[in-house]
This record gives sequence, structure tokens and C-alpha cells, in this order.
Amino acid sequence: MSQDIKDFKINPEKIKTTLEEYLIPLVAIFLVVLGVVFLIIPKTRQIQEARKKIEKQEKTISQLSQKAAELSSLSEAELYENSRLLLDAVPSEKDFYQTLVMSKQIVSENGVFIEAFKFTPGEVSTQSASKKLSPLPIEIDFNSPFENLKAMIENIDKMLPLVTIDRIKFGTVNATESGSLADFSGKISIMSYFGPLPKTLGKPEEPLPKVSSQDRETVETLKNYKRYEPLAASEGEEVITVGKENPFPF
Amino acid sequence: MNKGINLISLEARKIAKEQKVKGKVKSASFVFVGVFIVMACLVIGFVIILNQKFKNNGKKITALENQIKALEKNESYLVTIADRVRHVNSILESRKAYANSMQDLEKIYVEDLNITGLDFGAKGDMKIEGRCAGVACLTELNNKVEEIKAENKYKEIVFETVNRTVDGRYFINLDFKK
Repeated sequence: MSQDIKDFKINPEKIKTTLEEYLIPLVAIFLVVLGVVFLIIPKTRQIQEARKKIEKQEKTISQLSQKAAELSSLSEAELYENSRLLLDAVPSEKDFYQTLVMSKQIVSENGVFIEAFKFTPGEVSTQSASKKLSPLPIEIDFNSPFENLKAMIENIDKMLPLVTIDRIKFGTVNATESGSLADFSGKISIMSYFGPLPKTLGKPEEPLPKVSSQDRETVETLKNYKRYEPLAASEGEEVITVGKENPFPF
Repeated sequence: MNKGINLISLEARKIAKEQKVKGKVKSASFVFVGVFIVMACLVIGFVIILNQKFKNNGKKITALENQIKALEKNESYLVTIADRVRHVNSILESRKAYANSMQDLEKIYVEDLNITGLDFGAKGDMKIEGRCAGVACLTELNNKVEEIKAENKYKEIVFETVNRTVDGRYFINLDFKK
């Protein structure tokens, strides 16, 4: 026994070899585990996030490309003409003077005699904050032969700016000579409309508003309507733009 | 019981077992390191490619946004058109049928009929008060009313009252209901 203990010697070479043979691979494995935890896993998460971002970008690119292609395919001249026509149909600003002049023009052009006018301009503002249409009612006391009244009512339905007849209230009906309809007098209530323009165009990736074939037909129909042009602004009148630049060129 | 004799010494067996374990540890470490290197390369490669793609997409988006900005005028016209068409449609839908009422009034007019009262309803209803000089006028008026009735534009057309006076005239009240 004492002989065995005497023989037991620490062999440094053997220990070194054992360490090299076991420790280096084990350290390598440990480093690999650390690498997986601190490099591969975070980077994998980064890849997933980057892929999500890229997917979002690609969706945006697709939307933008489509929008750019659609915008390029549109004719600026045609769009301008149509938007002018539609702004003549429904003006953006409440201009009661123009409406008064126009109403008088329609009535007198059709040979209807105006006995009185009643006008309710309401809020005096150039543009209402509301997106809704704001009506401007006009009440006309008239006196007219049947034919002229009929012509006026038919023409009102085919004129720009668009107006609607809210009510016709007949007063006296005067009999005329045999064979022709009576002369009528009464009150006709006409509604003229105004609606402010949208103020912003929205984000670039937002799709363009859709104009259906039915809407195009409406525009084509309006082209046949008679336009009552507003009176031209006096020469030398300077237009001063204030505040944020208006994206609408009107 | 048959027992085999192992001629390999205990020491040699221990060494052989040790060698086997060492080999396994070595192989495992090679495999781990190898897989790790491949994975790290792939991951880093992916990160670089995706970053590059992200940058390129950003440039594309900016270019497209600029292109759209250059066409802003067209977009503003289109937005105006869509907005105005919506308003135009709502106005046209709210129109009342006064022009049709006028046409029908003209259609039923007969000689010797004096219209003394008239009322147009918003939905296209019409009320007529009149005076016919004689039975011939009344008959002709009734025929014209029948013609309009045949067109099925009105739900019903009713002679509310027909009064004959001693001098042979007829006072009528006609109601056209939509």
C-alpha cells in the first residue's frame, strides 16, 4: 500500500494532454452555445423584423406604383375640363350675388315675370367647414303664361350650377282666351347648392378615389347642360394666397 | 456457466474507452462549430441582404413618392371630380318631378276648360281645380285623363268632385296621386 502511494506521481504532461483533448472541444461547444444565444437568436429576430418591414415596404411600393401608373395614364386637360364643369355644377363657395344674378337671368330668359324675390343667404362665408352641401334657397314670386313657366321648369333641370325646385305654390290662375292654358302666378322655391372642396389629398400611398362609369355618364350628361358663367373678376385684381399652400389649383 | 476470458488488460480497456469518449467529444465539437459557422454565415448574410433590400426599397419609395408629387395636379383634379360627382348625384336624386307634372297638365288641357286652381306635390302629385263649359269638354277631359292613366305613371287619378251648375257648366276637382 505504502509502495503504491510512493509510485503515485502527478504527471503534468498527462494533465496537459487531457485538458487539450477535453477542454478545447468543450470550450468550443460552450462558445457555440453562447454564439447561438447572443448572435444567432437576436439576428434571427432581426431578420424576422426586417422581413416584416420589407413586406410592408413592398406593399407600399405596389400601391405607389399602381397610383403613379394610374395618375400618369390620366389626361390632365380632360381632368381639368371635367373638374371645371363639376365646379360649375356645384360651386365650392357660397356666392349669393352670383346666385341672385343667375336666378334672375334664368327667369327672365324664359319670359317669366318676377314680381318679388326672397333670398336667404344664411351664414356669409366663402367656404363652410362642413363637408356637406349647403343649400341656398331663393323664393321667386312669378307671373307667367303656362308655356313660359313650363319652359323655365324644364330649363332649370338642365342648367349649371345645379338647382332644384323645392316647391311651386300656385296663387291665382287667370283664365285666358279659349284654346290656351291659363296665366299662372305663384311662388317657386329654388335651391342652389355649394360644397367646400376637400382640403388635403391624403397620404401618397392612399389609393386614388374611384370614378365609376356611372359617374362618367353623369359628367357626360352635365356637358349638355347650359352653363351660367359667373361674372368675371375685374382686371388688376390680385389674388393673395395666405396660409398653407392649397393643393387644389382652383 | 460458460465465461469468456478477456485477454486485454484492464488498463488497455480503460485507455480504449477514454479514447472513444475523447473522439466523441472532439467530433461533437467539430459538428457544433461547423453548424454554428454555417448558421452564423447564413444569418449574417441574410441580415446584410435584407438591409440592402430595405435601403433599396426606401429609395424606390422615395422615387415613387416624388413621381406622385409631380402628378399632384392630376390627383387634385381627380379628388375634386370624385367629390363633386358625389354632390351632383345627391342633388339629381333629390330633384322633384315638377317638369313631368307640367307636361301632364299640358296633356290633359282641353278647350273650354278653365283651370282655377293648381297644386303640385313634391313627389309628382297634382291637384287641379277647373271649370268645364259643357259636357263635351268634360267628356274630352275624361278621355285625356284615361290616356294618362294608361301610361301608369300615377298610382291613381281621381275625380274628387264633379258639380254641375244650372247653366250647364261643370266644376271639377281632379287628383293625380303618385
